[in-house]
Amino acid sequence: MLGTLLVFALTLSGCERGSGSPAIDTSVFGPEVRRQLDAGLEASRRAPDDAAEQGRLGMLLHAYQLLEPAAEAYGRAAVLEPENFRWRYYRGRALSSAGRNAEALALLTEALPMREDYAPGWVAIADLLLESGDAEAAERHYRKAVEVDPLSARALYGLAKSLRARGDLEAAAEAYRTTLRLQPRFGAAHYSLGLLYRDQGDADRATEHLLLADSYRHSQAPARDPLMGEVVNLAAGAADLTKSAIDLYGEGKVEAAIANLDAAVELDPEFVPARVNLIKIHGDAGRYDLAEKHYRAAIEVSPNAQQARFNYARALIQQTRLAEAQTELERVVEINPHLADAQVLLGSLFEEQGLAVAAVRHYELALESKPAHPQGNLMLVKHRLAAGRIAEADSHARRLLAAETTSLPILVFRLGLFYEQAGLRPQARDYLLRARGLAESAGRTRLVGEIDSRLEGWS
Amino acid sequence: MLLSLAVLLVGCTAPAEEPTAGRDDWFTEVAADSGLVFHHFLGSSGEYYFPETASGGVALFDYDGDGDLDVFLPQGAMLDESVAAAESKFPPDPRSWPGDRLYRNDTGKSGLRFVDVSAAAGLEVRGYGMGATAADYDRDGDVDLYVTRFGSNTLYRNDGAGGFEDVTASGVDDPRWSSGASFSDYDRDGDLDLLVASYVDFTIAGARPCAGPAGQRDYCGPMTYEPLPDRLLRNDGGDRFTDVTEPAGLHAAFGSGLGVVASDFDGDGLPDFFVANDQRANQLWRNRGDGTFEDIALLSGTALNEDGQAEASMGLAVGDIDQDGDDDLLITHLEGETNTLYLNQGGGNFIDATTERGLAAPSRSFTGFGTGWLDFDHDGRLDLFVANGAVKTTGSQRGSSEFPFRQKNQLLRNLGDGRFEDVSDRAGPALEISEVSRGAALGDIDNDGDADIVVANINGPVSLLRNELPDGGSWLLVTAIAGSPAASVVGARVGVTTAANGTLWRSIRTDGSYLSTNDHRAHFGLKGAVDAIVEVEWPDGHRTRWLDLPADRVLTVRRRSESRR
Repeated sequence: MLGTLLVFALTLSGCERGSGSPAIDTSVFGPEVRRQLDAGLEASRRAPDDAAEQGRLGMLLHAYQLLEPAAEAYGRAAVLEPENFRWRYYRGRALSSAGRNAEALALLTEALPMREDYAPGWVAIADLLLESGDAEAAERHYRKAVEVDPLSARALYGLAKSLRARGDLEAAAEAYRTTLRLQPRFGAAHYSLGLLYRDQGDADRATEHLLLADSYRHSQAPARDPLMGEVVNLAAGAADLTKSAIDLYGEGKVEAAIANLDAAVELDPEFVPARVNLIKIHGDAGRYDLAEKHYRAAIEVSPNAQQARFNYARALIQQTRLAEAQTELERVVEINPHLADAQVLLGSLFEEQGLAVAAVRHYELALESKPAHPQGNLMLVKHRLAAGRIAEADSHARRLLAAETTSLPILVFRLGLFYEQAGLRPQARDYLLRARGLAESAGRTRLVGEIDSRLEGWS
Repeated sequence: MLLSLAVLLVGCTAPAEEPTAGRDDWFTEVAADSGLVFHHFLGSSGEYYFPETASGGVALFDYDGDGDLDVFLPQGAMLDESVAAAESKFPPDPRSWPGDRLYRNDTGKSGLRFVDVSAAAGLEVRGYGMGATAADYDRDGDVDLYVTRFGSNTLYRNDGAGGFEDVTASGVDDPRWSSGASFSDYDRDGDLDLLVASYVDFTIAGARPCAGPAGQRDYCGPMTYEPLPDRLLRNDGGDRFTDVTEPAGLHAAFGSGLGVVASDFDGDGLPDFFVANDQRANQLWRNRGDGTFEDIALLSGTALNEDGQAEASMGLAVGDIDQDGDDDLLITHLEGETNTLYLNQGGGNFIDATTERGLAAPSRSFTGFGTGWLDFDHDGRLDLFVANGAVKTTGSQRGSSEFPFRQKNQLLRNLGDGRFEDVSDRAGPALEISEVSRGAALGDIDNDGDADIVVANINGPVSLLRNELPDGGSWLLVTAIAGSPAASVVGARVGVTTAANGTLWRSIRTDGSYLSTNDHRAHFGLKGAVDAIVEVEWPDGHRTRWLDLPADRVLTVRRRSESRR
């Protein structure tokens, strides 16, 4: 034991106790990330002799790919707490990502005896060995990882790669097949196996696996590395960035919102909510090509991404591509018949084509899910009045008036116009006056002027 | 035990220092001293416009036919034309701006010397230059030039008297964002056709703000924009080119194209095309011989890396590195990925041999662009040069540099057992320089028998890495000429046989690296042999052989009537 500690001390020489947190200019980062980093740096400065604080700072820096300062912080933590495997493992992984492979390999090899049961550690060393060209040693380490965790598809895949690199193609193919039995949607394994079949002259099986590789190209084997998972989870993830983007959009900071959403997509290309918002923002701004790009990416990840389809349908309507919008909305309500916005929008498309019965059916479906839906109620007022079903129209009108939406002034204005068209002028006047009051309160002077001119025309 | 401890004695704050002992000083930086004073103008208004990251080609070609290599460098311009160049984030160096530059090689007894002849040659054209390729497309015996840009491209016909005429109206213009270009005779009618890669549909008006992983402002990647189809332009003679992209089938698949090469990858005697796509699957277009092509990249194993992932493919190095007679392929990629070596197994089937050849670890922490195989030490084996420069802010330079993308370039020596060793740290002062490198063109600039390297650095000075190999062994530099009127030799293969090396094959090409053109001559290190057998396989499959040619000279070989198939 004494010998082991002596080696650790030598490894970490230079990472002195209290040697201080790195100077990092956090002003260049986005607000959410800056807040996190500033807090982490401050905590680290306040507790220079606290291994947990130093290590936590390292994890935070690591999460944002600030690898060199992360390695420094881990080094300080490891000096303070030499028996903790975690700090050495993290430092090795950070150095590996920074391209300092020889140091990473030495550190990980030295640290692993502390946690021989940790399969991802064996895999990390094996990956470095394979990358350095030592396929034989890599194979040994992958085998050890498989021994520790027989269900690790990642370890088995590495084993297959090392066998292929050593020229043992039969054994490599078998290892790929075993990997795929554990993880049938592992695109990389399908690809490698497909190429092995190709080299063996088995064109059919080669094609089969290459096509599967294409289908599952975004699907990776689970890392099953809880320690690295803790690092990844520290980052302001795609969800945080998206939430922040929504706030920024609400404040009118559209470009900043887009930057956050782009960062979210960069962090996690499969994070559909970020793309959903990008479809909406770009669609509203008339950047239809970008809206389409994010729509396609979203439905590739999740074909049933109803909100992505809905936002894209709105963009199609703005471009007057109505038939495509209708198809998209029909798909949305097939996925989720309770999405009231989609039912109403689809109804309005039927209305545009003069298909009143179908339109009414979709408005009614919208209200089944969301009885207070303002546009749904408004459109049913129109149709009930046209059918002479005044009491039902009045009922929908009352629901509309109870709605809480910034669009209420214009919706109530249109309500008045529908009553006017139905020859019910007293009610129409009443609704116009209500709309006027709402518009005035909201500072919508143009609408106030429009209502005044209508009322003047009636008197 | 002491040795392993020495490895572990790493400091907390910095990587271990490499020992300086054993440095070989193979390459020295001589650009400025030789009059090559080009400084690339980025044209940045601080808005992180995407083309800023992707320009920087370089062409080596003998425009004046005097037997040495001249240097053409596309120049940048203001991308946002509402901002004056003087107000740019990095104002231009008036010595090499505005407009593209051509430097005539006047090397003589007084040493290596270049003279800026851009204006006299009619090449001082302003635009946002990307890359260039050079070849005698009109078969009049002198080398012409095609320049790709973010914006309209230009074809220049060499008038044979030191000037160039803009003949873009011949059907080769392209207002989109073009990148790599390659001349080759794909239809085997004796004249050179043109393949032009296109990148993405970026426009200044449609520029998007992008962010790095931690939300900081940074350059976008190619996935932010839609890719553009590449174009195949058939040379119909008489200064006319016809766009045959659709009938040839090349419209069927495309990505964000950067590097392109033409080579007979499947060994059927016809040039195929390889297009390196940035973060999208590559294309390998197999020439069917009837004017059409099919994309065989996926089945060939070159569309994706070993893990089935599309990588950020940028530069290409093509050469027969395993000496089995066919062209292998190395593609440069982003930091975090590796440069990927695809070994040709014959018939157009490749395997990813990156890790086995020791090329993974040295490239993981660099973003590679320009690249090329060269036998810098004349041992008969192809070594590798890679020009590096980041495209996203490099963490260690954040806050300390106005242009935090600098990386060192690399030289990897072929050890002869199939593996490569990164020898950059002992290759000389020219490999210690950190710039934001893009294109690299390889050729014997000073005609002393070894391969030198010109590197285009964006927002920085051009580099000229002169090979100073003290005891160079023996060598041959072969120019192949097919006859008169000048038939194309692009696509020809030159083989040199010695007892020590067996037969080494090199292809004559106009393309490769990153948006660049290498020396059209074939260079061979002969490992001390005093003579060699030289054989040329002409583009039509005929072969000509010369016996017992003495080493250590620049040779010109001409096609004879007794050529044999």
